[in-house]
Amino acid sequence: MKPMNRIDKHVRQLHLRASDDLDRRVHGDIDKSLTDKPTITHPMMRRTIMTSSITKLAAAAAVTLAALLGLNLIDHPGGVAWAQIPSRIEAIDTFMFRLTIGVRRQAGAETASEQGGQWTFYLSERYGFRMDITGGGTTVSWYVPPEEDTLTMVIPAEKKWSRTPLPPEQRGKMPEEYKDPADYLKRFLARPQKELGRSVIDGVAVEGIEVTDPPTDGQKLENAVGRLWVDTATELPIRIEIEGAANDVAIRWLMEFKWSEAVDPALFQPNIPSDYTPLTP
Amino acid sequence: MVEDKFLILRFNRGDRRVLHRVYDKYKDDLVTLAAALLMDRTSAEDVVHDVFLSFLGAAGRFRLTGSLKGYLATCVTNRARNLNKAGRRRHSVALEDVPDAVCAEASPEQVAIFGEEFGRLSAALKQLPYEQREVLLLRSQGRMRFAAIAETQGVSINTVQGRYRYAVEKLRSLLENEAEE
Repeated sequence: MKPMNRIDKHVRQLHLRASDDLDRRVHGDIDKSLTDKPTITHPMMRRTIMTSSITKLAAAAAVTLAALLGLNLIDHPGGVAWAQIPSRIEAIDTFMFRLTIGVRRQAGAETASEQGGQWTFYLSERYGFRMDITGGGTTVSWYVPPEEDTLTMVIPAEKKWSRTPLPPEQRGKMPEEYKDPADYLKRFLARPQKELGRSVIDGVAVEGIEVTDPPTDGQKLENAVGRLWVDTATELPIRIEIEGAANDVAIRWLMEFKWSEAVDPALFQPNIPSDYTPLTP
Repeated sequence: MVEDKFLILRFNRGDRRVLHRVYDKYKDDLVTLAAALLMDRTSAEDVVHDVFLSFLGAAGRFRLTGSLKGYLATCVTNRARNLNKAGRRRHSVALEDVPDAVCAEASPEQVAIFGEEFGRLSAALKQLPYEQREVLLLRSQGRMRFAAIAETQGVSINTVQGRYRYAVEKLRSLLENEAEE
């Protein structure tokens, strides 16, 4: 091993544990600041998601596909009855969508590494909301019940969990907000587009369109294309794919959807085994 | 880290509760970094405490971008550097008069900080010029890029890389000499 690597490794082995006294001081100060200023903004999870530069696209797409496709912005001669999609989706009270962001860095011509992350959202008027964030080998799950009175976070890899109250004035708005026709797909469909015709995704017959330069809120992509695929049988969205590049890095967004019957209500219940410990004192 | 992106997002929107999680996640790394910089555990914990106090006051008032751990490591480093300068001013005469050889052996205080196993390493670290020690620790402990360290220290990336090379070489030399003795 080179001396540089050996020393580097040696230094990395230095490790101290923060003392209990420091834990008390810092956590105490954080708690005190929350008590001192009760008017501090406590953003709801849904607001976090809806405004995140990364997830806004996915969240907006999930709730606006139907409404915006229903505007007949595209004159599609295929078998999909685009105009009926909004009412179909509005009748569904439970769905899941998963956003996977893949990043491929070209290291010369020989190797490539991939990194990114995955967000899985479960949304239900009846059961509440759940989000799984996966990246770096760890998954963190966030849960908000239909009452929207608490936010529960569970980190299985660390056997940790936490539950914090949510302010009353922001409760009860989740279903409406998720059905709010955000403008993402309108902008998506306003781009130059072409029909992709019919295809099959995971054994499901689909029909799709492709747009150039799709909106990618918060992330600037060059030479980007976006593809929207709809199940021809149910006439519900199945997938959105966006591919582009930023600073010579290839980036791919994949959004996958599942509707009502494919989503287990048990998924909305936090699983906190007895050996898990609270995340905060 | 994906989780960090969401913690930053919530923090930027004024949610200070996320600092519980941020602290729990990085407290050990930050205390280790501060202690290795200052060679004093009590001061190190005070530095980390100060960083989080400032963090609390800043919630919702500035936007945090980039690496959360890198940001915290930079905050700790800046405070440790100020503390170190203040300490040097107070003890400049005494420290300047102390020859390097005297420091080669781990003091009980240094052994106490990182344990017997790392007493030699921490004693050797203490002999490095502060700027070199800072670069080495930010690179190895903080996993920061040279460019980010250069920004933190307000010098060129070449200077930072030079400091890193000198630090490694001197540390290697000190540790090997001690092993031979």
